[in-house]
Amino acid sequence: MSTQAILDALRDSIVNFDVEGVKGKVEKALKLGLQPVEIIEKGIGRGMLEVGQRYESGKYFLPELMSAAATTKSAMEVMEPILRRPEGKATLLGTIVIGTVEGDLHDIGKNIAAALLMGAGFDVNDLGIDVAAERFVQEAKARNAKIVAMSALLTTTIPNMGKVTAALKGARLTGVKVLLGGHHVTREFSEQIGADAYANDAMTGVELARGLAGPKHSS
Amino acid sequence: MKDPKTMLEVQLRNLREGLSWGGGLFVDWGILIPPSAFGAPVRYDDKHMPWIEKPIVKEPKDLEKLEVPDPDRCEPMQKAIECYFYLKEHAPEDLRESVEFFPLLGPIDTSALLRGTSDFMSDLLLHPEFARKLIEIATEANIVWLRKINEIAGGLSVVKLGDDYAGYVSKKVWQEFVFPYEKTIYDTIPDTIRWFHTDGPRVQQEGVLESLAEMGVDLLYGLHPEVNLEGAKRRLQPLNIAMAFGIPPVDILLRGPVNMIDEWCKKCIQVAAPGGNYALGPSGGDAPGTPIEHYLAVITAAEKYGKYPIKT
Repeated sequence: MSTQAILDALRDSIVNFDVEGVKGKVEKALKLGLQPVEIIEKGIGRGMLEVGQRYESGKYFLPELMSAAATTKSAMEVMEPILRRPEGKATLLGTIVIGTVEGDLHDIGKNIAAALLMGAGFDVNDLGIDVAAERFVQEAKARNAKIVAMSALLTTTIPNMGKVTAALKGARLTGVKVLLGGHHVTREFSEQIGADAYANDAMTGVELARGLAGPKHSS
Repeated sequence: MKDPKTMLEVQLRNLREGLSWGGGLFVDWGILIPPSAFGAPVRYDDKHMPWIEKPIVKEPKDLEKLEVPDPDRCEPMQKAIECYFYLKEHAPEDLRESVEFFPLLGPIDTSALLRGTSDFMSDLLLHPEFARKLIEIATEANIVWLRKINEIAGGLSVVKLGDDYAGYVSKKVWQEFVFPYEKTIYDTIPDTIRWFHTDGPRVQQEGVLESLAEMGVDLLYGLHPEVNLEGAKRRLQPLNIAMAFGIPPVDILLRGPVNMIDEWCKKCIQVAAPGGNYALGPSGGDAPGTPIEHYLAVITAAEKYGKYPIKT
């Protein structure tokens, strides 16, 4: 099988939710000598991009999106030992610490964003839901994160994003970029709390994260 | 939330100020029942509705541990019943007839809360039998609870069912995993008026709105702001299904200003009210912190533009 064929097969596995089969394809790609970055960008990432586009155009729905996310996770598990090595990690776009802010237990939007970011080639550290500002700071510091991405659905919890930006500033993590996500987040709010960018949907969030991350090898 | 006395006071205050969409009193335990009746842990705080804190179904074998709750023995259901009788006893006399339970949380949302939304959504495609079994158990719990509240109420005239995530699936998944179970629940109590709510914008895909007629739905309420009001009206009016939605709860109702709310309400009424079968209302739940003046602006607009014949 040619390298292009295996990359196409990887893309198809993500688009068709082949959770088990994708593992073998990643192994095969590695045996063929493909670098993790190629596998992610030209195989898995292409698949997730297509899934995201199909979701936006109404061809795919939430079950399809979450099934593709599960398939991406399955593929990344195979690559995890390689990516954990310094030379492997350097192939990623950078580390993102992501979570739903304190007081908010909604996770679906955050999970969609995490899956797309993973597919795009970020090292995604998902802190889950109801995450306190201090925890964002600790994890960003511990993982040398390029980006802290926060999600909030409720109008009452959106202000807690400001606590996180303040805590990052207090910890002098000024180099860490802050990305806000959530349907109701506005430009005014983003500017008010000193965030670097905001996105009302996950696909936009991925594009913004690419821009915020800058070049590789600096995480 | 846990205190029926506070619940009554708050609802009476809202009613006095004309700020209740329903116009009556209800056991406001949000989405607690039935997921909490299965043992899912609940988070309470001062600012939000109670919420199921974490899923309890991690793998298929956990389904065996799920017992359909018995309303006569299950604590959350017993508490809700106690609350219902408290409201009945302590409400002003003219409002006692209006006391009711919160709309049923349908089998899709119940399953999503028990399993975790992301995992449940992928189960629908990757592990359909697992998902189906969970939905069947959730449906059974809905039916048992519905029968109980029907008995307590001395015969329900309206059955209200809400399944937010049902509106995020394809028509194929809807037909297989949503439609049959929602219909079974409604059919438990025949000859009732049927209200249905879902948050998902995909409910407007071809064939799904139409299938509501087969479910016997009379009113569709609180739909996602992305649902096209004009399109929904065009498709639902021939089926004699009424609608109650149209005002985005955050972008319009929360943020205002008042003149924008007035304009928005006017447009909703002009589009959806001709021919009847429309109630002006929010698309989705109310956003905490919405100023009272904004609600009053809706009432003013309804009075101003909502008189028949509607001026378009």
